[in-house]
Amino acid sequence: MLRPSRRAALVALGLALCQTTLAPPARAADDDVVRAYRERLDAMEREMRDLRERLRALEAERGAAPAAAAEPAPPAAAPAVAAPEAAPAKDAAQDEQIGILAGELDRLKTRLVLPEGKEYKSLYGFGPAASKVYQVERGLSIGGYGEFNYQNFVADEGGRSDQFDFLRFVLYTGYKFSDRIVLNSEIEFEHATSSSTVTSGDGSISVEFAALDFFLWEPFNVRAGLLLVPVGFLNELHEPPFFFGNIRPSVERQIIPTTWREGGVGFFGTLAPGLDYRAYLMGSLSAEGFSSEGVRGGRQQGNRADFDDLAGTVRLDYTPVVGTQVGASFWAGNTGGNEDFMGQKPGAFTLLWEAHAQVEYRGLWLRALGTMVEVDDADVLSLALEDTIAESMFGFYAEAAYDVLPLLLPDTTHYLAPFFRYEIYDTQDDVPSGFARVPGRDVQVYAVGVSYKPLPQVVLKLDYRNFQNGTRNALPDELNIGAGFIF
Amino acid sequence: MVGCAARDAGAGVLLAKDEALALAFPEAERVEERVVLLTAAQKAEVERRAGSALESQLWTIHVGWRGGAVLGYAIIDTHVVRTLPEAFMVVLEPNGAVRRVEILAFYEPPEYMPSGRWIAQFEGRALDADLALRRGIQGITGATLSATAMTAGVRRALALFAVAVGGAGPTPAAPTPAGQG
Repeated sequence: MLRPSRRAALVALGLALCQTTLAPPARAADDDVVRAYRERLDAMEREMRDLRERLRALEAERGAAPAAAAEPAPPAAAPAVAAPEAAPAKDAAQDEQIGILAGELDRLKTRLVLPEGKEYKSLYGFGPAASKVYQVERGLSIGGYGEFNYQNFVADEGGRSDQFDFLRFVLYTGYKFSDRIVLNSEIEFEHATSSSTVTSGDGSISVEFAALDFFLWEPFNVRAGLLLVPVGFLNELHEPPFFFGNIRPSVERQIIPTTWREGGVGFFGTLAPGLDYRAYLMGSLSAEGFSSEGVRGGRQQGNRADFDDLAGTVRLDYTPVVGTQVGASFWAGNTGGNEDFMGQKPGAFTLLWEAHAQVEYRGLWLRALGTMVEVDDADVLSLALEDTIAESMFGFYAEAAYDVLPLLLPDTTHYLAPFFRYEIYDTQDDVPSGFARVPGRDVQVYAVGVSYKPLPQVVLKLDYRNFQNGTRNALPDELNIGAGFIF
Repeated sequence: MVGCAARDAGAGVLLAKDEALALAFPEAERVEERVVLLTAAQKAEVERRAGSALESQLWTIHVGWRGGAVLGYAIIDTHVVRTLPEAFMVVLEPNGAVRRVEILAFYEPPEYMPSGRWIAQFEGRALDADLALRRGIQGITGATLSATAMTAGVRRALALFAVAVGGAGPTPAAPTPAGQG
């Protein structure tokens, strides 16, 4: 079947031939011509009607109702569709279409994250199948933090060099296997490289912690793996934007040996609104690493740790109102291991306890922490280690800071807070009788400085620390400039 | 608070959308899904009032109706906290003040999820300079990103209401064909 245009063309050609070859048209030929023209005209009219319909539909989609009304009336058969009556119907139709599109877009926006109905909730869990369906790898979480600083030693009689240190870079990876089983882990790169350099000893790369969390019930959940000991402020929460000063408070390095982690298993949860707890059974410290500077050297860090001794630790935090937190923790365990200390195998039971409080109110920040460590069999340890291991050690610090930037720039989202901290600690507070107290282990630290956060995740820090050391040559002051970040 | 009972430590989705709206308007006969298409000028005004950028010009404001009276408004929004998303709902009184805020879905590790008590700080609030971290809203040490994201989200919802609905409240409109019964 020929297309109308082709047929028309052939007709026209035929007509042309007729005109040139035939005699002046007979009546029959006239009729043919007229019929042919009429057929052609009909076909063209049908095409034009078709095109006009399509144009109207397109304009309706585009919302050009006025344009339809302005269209010139067609010359031939098809009556002008009642344009004025069509406009309200078109508006309603457009509204409906927009409503439908909006609903679809809205669902798209939230579709990856929020199910429409309760019956789909389980699909939005964290099984790999569900994640792939929505093409969002929601199980994997990656983050990290880091800090670096420049330290200038002031009034230094010991000739210590000023230094730059990329103190730590930590990569956090977490994976949500399901609604109830989650892996959290951190890998830490300390001092930029694991090798030693011409001016410095080794840095280190460690798994800082890695634990499987099993969520059972709000008050009772289980955690197992390499766990952070839940004592103090900084051992668990040491991202740079969350503490003041470039260097961590000395009390939380010398007395509480952050970052302190051991293999273990335990429970955690929320007992009542605002009341959180953690209780773990973990590997212990090893007294072989104790010194006059404290228990820090006794950390095993989960590296083929000696589990002859176990330690228990419990922490309780209470938040009476948002912004205020008080809490306490203790850690206790034998530390002698099964080791021989000059013919003896002491238990060297060690107890660490601490209490802390924190207040954040508008721009104000206050923190205080007190801690004590008691070591049994310190005399046996001291003799064997040829050092004075104290029977008791203590530390205390208090700090205050205030975000002054809103006073100067009321609409600011930046943060600028000067801070002041006072610390006092002594790792030789009470030594076993018959052993000489190692001098210089009782220290007071005065720190003053400022933290600036253009964003919550980035902090620039400047601080000055003055060390007062009762019985030895003064420790050098420090001027520290550095930065930290979390992502 | 009902929200705490629904919170299951470790869960991603806490409330599906239909559960959330039932929680927002327990006495509603119907929930109107009002589509709001912001003009460029309106978007700029919302951003100015909220103090943060708006990602979309298309919003749905859920209006709870009982008889001819508006029970309240609910706005559901999603945003990224650190690298993973969160969905939350801001329920407003007919006059635009915050009635409650609920987290509907949270995909970051649960230790970053703000507690019910922290979220309760938003109740009764209006959009003013005090609705900000370290002013009227206390932060969360160790979960600053969650706190920042939520505070900004509540501000955006309040600003959107102010611009799209205004203080006068809605004109009782026939439900659109796409409206949810």
